[in-house]
Amino acid sequence: MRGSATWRRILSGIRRLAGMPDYTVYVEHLQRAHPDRSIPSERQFYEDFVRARYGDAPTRCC
Amino acid sequence: MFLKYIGWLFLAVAGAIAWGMLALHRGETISAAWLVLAAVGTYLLGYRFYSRFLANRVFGLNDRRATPAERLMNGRDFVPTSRWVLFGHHFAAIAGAGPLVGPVLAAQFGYLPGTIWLVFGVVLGGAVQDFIILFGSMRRDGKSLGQMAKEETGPATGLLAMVAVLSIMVILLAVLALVVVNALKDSPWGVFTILCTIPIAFLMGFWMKAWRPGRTLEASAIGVALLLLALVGGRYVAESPSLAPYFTASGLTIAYGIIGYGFIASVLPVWMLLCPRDYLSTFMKIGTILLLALGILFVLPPLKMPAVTQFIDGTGPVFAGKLFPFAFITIACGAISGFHALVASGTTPKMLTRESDARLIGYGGMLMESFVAIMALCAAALLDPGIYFAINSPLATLGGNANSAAEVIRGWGFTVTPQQIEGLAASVGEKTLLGRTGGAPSLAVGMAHIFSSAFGAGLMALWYHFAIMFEALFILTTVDTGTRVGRFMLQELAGHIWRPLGRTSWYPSTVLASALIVAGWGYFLVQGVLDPLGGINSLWPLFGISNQLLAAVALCVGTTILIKSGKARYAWVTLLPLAWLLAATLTAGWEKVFAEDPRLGFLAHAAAVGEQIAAGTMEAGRGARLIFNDRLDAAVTMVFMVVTVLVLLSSAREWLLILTRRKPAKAQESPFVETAYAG
Repeated sequence: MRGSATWRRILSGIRRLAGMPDYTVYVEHLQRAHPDRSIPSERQFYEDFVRARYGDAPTRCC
Repeated sequence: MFLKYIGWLFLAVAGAIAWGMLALHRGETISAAWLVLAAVGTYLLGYRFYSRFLANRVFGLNDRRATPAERLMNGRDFVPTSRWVLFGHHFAAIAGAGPLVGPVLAAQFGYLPGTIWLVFGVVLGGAVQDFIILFGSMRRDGKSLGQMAKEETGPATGLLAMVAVLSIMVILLAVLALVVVNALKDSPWGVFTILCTIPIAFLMGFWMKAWRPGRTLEASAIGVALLLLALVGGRYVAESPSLAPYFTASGLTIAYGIIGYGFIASVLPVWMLLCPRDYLSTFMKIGTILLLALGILFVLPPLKMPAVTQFIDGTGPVFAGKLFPFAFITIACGAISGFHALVASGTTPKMLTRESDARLIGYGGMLMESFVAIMALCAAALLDPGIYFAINSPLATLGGNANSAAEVIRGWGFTVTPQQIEGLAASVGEKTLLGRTGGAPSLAVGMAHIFSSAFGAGLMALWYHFAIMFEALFILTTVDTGTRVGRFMLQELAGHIWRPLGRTSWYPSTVLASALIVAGWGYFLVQGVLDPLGGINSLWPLFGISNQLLAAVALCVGTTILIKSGKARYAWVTLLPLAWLLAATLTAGWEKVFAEDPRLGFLAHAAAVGEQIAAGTMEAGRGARLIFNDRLDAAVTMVFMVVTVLVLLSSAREWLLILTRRKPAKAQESPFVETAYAG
């Protein structure tokens, strides 16, 4: 993995400022809650997120 | 016990002294320190005591109750998030151009009215609205404002709320785009920098999608670096006699450019343009606002604007209308903003880890936005009033050149020389700053002043264009995302009429709906650009009225939630701001439509144009268009007012039914589930 755990958490926090969920958190969640499902690649995860994020609800104010 | 409160007592006294200094100070300049102290002191007291009362007594936030993020955790939108990260995320989502522009325009009344409304409006109104909607949505699995209105009050109200949101979106996009047009017209430096953001966003988009999937931070860092390069490159372009003409454009050309851009951005896949722009503007926004706060605290500039100007009588050049009600609709974002109800019932409630976090994020996030508005007000008030009015008054009022402008402004009692006006424009690398209405340019001058005093002089022009770029960047991001959201809403509404139109994946429906939304705000934008008084005059009040009326709708929904959950005795926390908001906004709406002064009333202006045509002083075709636009603006204002009153009436009916026990007080909350988190 990239860097230490603290560094990863900082980077993940900055990403989440812009609304981007964390891939490793998602993978951990899948393994724990839905062990039967296949794990998407990071690319697939990113694409699904982008599609869902800019859907039908306003995410930004004036 | 007493010792626990002594610090707060001290803060209250310090805040009171600061308010006293602001209110009683006459003549001479006053340090921005007093303004910042009065505001921050009041925020802290409001947060410590009032939001705590709301959280514990009124809403009954309960950390033993699992939040939607915990119960519905899916690793994507429902994710328990650390409260400070979520605070930053929520803040970046609610704070945009609104809190920067409104206070700058309202500075024509002096700094005091705006400050009072921003600070007390947010503590008692705006932050309460954001908090209660976030709370309501959190207790309902992250439902949207429209869905909550539908479930708690009835389907008709839900539909009305949706129509209101859609129309507000159209006006909002038009007025924000107009702010950008006024900042960029005849400015090759600005146009070049902003044009560069498009290829930069494409590059970031491909980086994150194709080359290095999901590496958003890498791409954003590259994006920011290229953006700063484009900023420096802009100076070279502006100073080059061969390149500058290619990037010098009239207001109308830029308006059509933005309209075309908005349409393309709305039909392109989001990863290409919209998503990277969103990252870029989020990081730029947070960074620049932190920098501005540091700068203001470091410089503590003297405020040269009087506490109150003579323009509270309604004769001001920036916008027409008296202090009441127009200060309260000109400043919407920063004091209370209905639009936040959409964000607070969107992504944020799905990410709260604990119920009690809603207090910091809902109430505290809005206080932070209000502080941004206070900083914008400082940046406007530190300018010489003469300079402020030279930038913010319409060109038609100023007579077109620095000499006539200085003359006109001296007539208002502010001293300014033509050399000062021209010297300032030259120092920021522009040919002219006269009549650049819309707030962004004067804010940029103020920010450039602060930054160059704090971080080294001599870079005034670079800082000015940095500030312009920063504002234009996230306004254009709002144009992208807003057009897209408007398109989805229109498709949903159209789906009620003919099924296939409601399918967002059907390409013809997407193109048609996008074109309609863009045509909607594009029409108002072009109308604003062609308006002889600069457009901000008529469009900004229209935006303020619509945003405040949406806040009234949100407060109605909030009151319904309170009464339905058996908290009717606390309903005053939403009814009080609701009453004030309705009084100010409906008065403003009424005056904008029916006032007899043609500077103020749309219909009176139409009549005045009619007389000019009859007298032969106005060309008939142009006059007819102005009359049509006046009537359209009047009709739009009336529609906003009627929709709000209908929502109010249907909500009030519901309140009465419950209070007289003809209907059970039962809110549609999701059932209680005990949290699995320790502590």
